[in-house]
Amino acid sequence: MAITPQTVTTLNDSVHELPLPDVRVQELPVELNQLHVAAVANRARLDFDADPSDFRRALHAAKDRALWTPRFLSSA
Amino acid sequence: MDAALPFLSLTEVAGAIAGRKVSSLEVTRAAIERVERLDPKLHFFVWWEPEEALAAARAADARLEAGGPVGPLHGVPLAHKDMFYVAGKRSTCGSKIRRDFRPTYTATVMERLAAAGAINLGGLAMVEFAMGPHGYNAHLEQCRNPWNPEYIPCGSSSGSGVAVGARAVYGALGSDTGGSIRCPAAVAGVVGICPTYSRVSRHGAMPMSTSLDCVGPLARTVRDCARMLRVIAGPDGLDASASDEPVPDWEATLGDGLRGVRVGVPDGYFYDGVTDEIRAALTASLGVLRGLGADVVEVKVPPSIYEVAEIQPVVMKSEGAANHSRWMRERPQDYSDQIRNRLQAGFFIPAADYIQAIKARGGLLSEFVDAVFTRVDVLHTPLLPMPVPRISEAMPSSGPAYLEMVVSLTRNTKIVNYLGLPAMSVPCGFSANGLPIAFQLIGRPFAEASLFQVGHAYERATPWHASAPEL
Repeated sequence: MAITPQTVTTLNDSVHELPLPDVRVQELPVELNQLHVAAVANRARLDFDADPSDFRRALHAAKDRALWTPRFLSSA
Repeated sequence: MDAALPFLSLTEVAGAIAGRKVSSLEVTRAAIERVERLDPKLHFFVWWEPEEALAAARAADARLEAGGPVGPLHGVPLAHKDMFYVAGKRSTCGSKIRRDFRPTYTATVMERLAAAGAINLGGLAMVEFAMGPHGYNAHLEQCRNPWNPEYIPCGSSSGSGVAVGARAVYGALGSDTGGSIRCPAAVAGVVGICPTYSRVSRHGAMPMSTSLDCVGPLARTVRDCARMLRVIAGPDGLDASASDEPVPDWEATLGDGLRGVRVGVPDGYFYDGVTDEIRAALTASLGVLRGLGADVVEVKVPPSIYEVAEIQPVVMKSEGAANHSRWMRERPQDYSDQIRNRLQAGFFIPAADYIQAIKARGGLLSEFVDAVFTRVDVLHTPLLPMPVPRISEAMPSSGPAYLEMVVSLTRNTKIVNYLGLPAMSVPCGFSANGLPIAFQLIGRPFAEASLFQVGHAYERATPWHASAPEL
């Protein structure tokens, strides 16, 4: 397991300073490891030149890539 | 006429008021009577102002009498998830922390609804800070499903689904970060649309996760949702993220029919874990669409959809933690245990991983659109994979089964928020427990028209939208 209760305690004490009861310190690594696995898998998709705002452009670009155009759009 | 009033659709009642067949005062009185009778059982309001609503109804009638211009929602009583700010009015966000919060400015969506003539009855129940799909809120009385009060209303727009499903108001705004409009609409037997990301301004709406949050309507019919969405959508100088994409008259194309429209049935992901009962209802609904002339075709969903499902919480939790970072340190005791626990994980996600999750969105969207929307016009999927759960199954004390259930509720909806696509929940039957079943229609970006067109055609051929719970 990459993230342990000890990791949570260390990070929390030195950085986050959340009031975390011990039961949560024990529970959190389960969820954090799931998120970590997802994040690590996603690192493979890293595109150095990509900008977060590319998503807005992708939304608009995708709008035009379809088979069917509603009548009001095709007549506009 | 009075007894029938609550059962008209939003567009029907708006037409009746505009045509002076009924007054806004009569309609608003009927809505208030229904709220007075049903809210003590179902707990869908956080606060309401019936006297102000009656005064607004009288003013609406006077304007009509004087021949003044009227908007598309003139005199129609609505109510909204308690997180859309109106200057000087309460906006609790379902929380203890904001129990007495009165914003100094008004949300763009609330300005637009008011300009269209709508009457606001008050603030509807929601999950604390919109963080949870089950409908449980430790700070409020348990909001209950109008079809059976022992079952969950879903969330986080719990009161919006219940108020519309119970025929107490004609429409309601909700917000959707992972399914919070579509799930409550589905279990209440009403229609709910999460529009394309950026289609509707979020100025003055409580933020949950800025990259994912969408505002949209829940109403009794597809046409009702089309009417409400047209009123609230469009560019907004107060929200830099709001798209300047033109807002069509969606009602004008509702009757175009389905001949030649391609409805996709997903191969992969969306049917994982779906019960036989839900699968049968979905299959039957596809038969209806086929009978209406649609081409129903199987379409392979890209495998990256599983990555989307895993990465969406990275974004949602990071942004949620950032939004709540001050109160989580200064007032942790004012959160319920469930919400405080849900927020904690986001603090531990490295910033680089969060940013990468945001950077990957465009590519993952393109993959999905290329695989799906170059082949079909809409994707037809299950919404909840199982029948609506009982409240007792959704209580946080229910252990691992509870966690599994919570994840299942939004499994088919949260991926849509990450991809920014429009999606709509449409009622399509009832399960053996008597609770509604719904399918989800997902469209390409800014193609809400296709969702409305397919949903409306289905609705006209089936009785589900006209079914009301006996209350």
